[in-house]
Amino acid sequence: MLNLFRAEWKKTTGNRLLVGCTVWIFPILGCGALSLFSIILLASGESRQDFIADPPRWDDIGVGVWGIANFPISRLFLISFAATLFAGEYQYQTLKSVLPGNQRLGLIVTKFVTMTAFIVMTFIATIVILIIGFGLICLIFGADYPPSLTSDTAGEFLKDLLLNASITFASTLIFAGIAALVSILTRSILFGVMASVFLTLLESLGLIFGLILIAAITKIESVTDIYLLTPTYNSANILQWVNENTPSPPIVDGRGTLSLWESVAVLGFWIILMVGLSTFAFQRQDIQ
Amino acid sequence: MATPVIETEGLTKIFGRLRNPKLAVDHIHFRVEPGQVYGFLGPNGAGKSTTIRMMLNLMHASDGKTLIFGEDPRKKPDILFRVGSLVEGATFYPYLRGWDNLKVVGNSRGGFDPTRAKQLLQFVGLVGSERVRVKAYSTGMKQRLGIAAALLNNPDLVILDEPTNGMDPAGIREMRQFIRDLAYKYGKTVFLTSHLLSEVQQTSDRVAIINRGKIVVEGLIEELLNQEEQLEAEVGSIEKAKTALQERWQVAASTVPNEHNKLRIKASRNDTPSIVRRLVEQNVDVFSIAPVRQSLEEYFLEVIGDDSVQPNSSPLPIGGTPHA
Repeated sequence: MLNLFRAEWKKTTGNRLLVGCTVWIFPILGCGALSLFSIILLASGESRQDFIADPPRWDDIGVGVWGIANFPISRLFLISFAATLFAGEYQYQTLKSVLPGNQRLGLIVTKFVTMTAFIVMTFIATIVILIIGFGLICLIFGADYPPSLTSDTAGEFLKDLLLNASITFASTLIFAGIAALVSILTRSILFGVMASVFLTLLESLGLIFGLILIAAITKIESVTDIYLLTPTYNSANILQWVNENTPSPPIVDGRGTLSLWESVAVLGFWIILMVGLSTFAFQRQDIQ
Repeated sequence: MATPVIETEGLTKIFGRLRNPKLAVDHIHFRVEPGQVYGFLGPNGAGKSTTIRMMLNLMHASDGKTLIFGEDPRKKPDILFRVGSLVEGATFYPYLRGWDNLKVVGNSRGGFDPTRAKQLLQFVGLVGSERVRVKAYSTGMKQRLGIAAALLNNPDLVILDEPTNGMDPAGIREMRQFIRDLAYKYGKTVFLTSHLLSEVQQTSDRVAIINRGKIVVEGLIEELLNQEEQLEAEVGSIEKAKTALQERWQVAASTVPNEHNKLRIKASRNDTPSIVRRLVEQNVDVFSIAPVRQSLEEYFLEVIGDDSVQPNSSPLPIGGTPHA
């Protein structure tokens, strides 16, 4: 399994265009954002005053980076990465060289692990860049950089970071699972990306409008409760419970919400379904 | 008795079970013994590559099974770590260097040994090119790298599907020697498909000919090609010679391309004087007459009949799709 992971790592790191455009783009954009922010502070005295009066908190920056992965645009990058990781083998017809001797389950699990490792690495790199970058900006402009680093604040920060990372990662894994499934079934990177992007946009934007419209036409408000089963709602709901101890609001006022553990169960179901379906499809497939 | 290296039992593959089912491989049985070079021949779409893919666990058999070193790879996939394969042309990650591709294949097949990889690069003549990205390789270079990749884990069985595709004549000659060396010098078992039947004849001990998913003939090359004695006569007129001889002997024009004035006569060497006498009596010019051994190519065409393409005149290799 370790050798398989080494092989997968080499394949992925070697594809610099893919990794550069879909994974390292997050720390690169982080550097870009820091540069832009610095220019604004240098150019505008008013902004500088506001910044010094209300400096950013390093712990909020660190935890907030994980929220980036939940934006539909960010998801597109991660989905493209996942689709290429899975469908690349079909495009280059390399499964015939790497599959014999291995369990198919082992190979697909290695791909999910590699994908996880890259996503974790890119967000940790982004967090480090942003925390250090904003620290330097605060130092240059003479602003505070709260909170003070103590064992309590560090412990609290790590707890929040892990929690947010887990939830964001769970939701990313679901969409990566969709990308993997479509890529395996269609044996195409393009179809994998297109279908996953379509489903992501549908789930995060289109479904809300669709359900509201159906509820308005049929006068059955409970139709909107279907949204409570989506990964987007449940990851937002878990974060809301964890950070604010309240549920995420429903899309129609007055409708029910889910508890923390109900949302954990729904998210878990989606992960198992998507990863399981990808594995099942790959197990059954004839490699041409 | 040693365990066969490969043994298939009623191996069957049906594509598209629900609609328009196509029987690609039809209950085939064959055995490959240790140390043999086994040629697996057949025209386009006969089922050769599908059979190999089922042997390598790339495709699921609809029925029957394959045993590799006595084990079913579906139940014990790691038995395939003892197998090196090059299936339907060498394919690699184009963005990786040759060396990195070998690393990927090695690690995917149990572990990468850099010393062995260097030896193999020397062996296939790619020293100096291993740091070049594979997208810049010629087809022949890819094929050589494919051979190196197939041998990385020092396999006991080597499956080579059209190994000479894209190679120049010198490369083909090297490949022939290489296949012989694999079997006779290093003691490997080789399972080989090739559209170059003369190459198969020169390298293989045993062959199976598959057509429309069924094995139509299987045996030692020596036995298959020596079933009947034949004489080959070069004459002035094929038609006149046929008319003169066909009362007493079975006569046919040579099936070898570009041999328009040659005749094959199913007769023994002792019949030569009678045949010459008969031809001269009928005013047929005789330029030469000699006993011949049927070539594998002729035998193949005889067995496959009208279903086949002319092996040497086809622009496409027998067995699968042409490679870019």
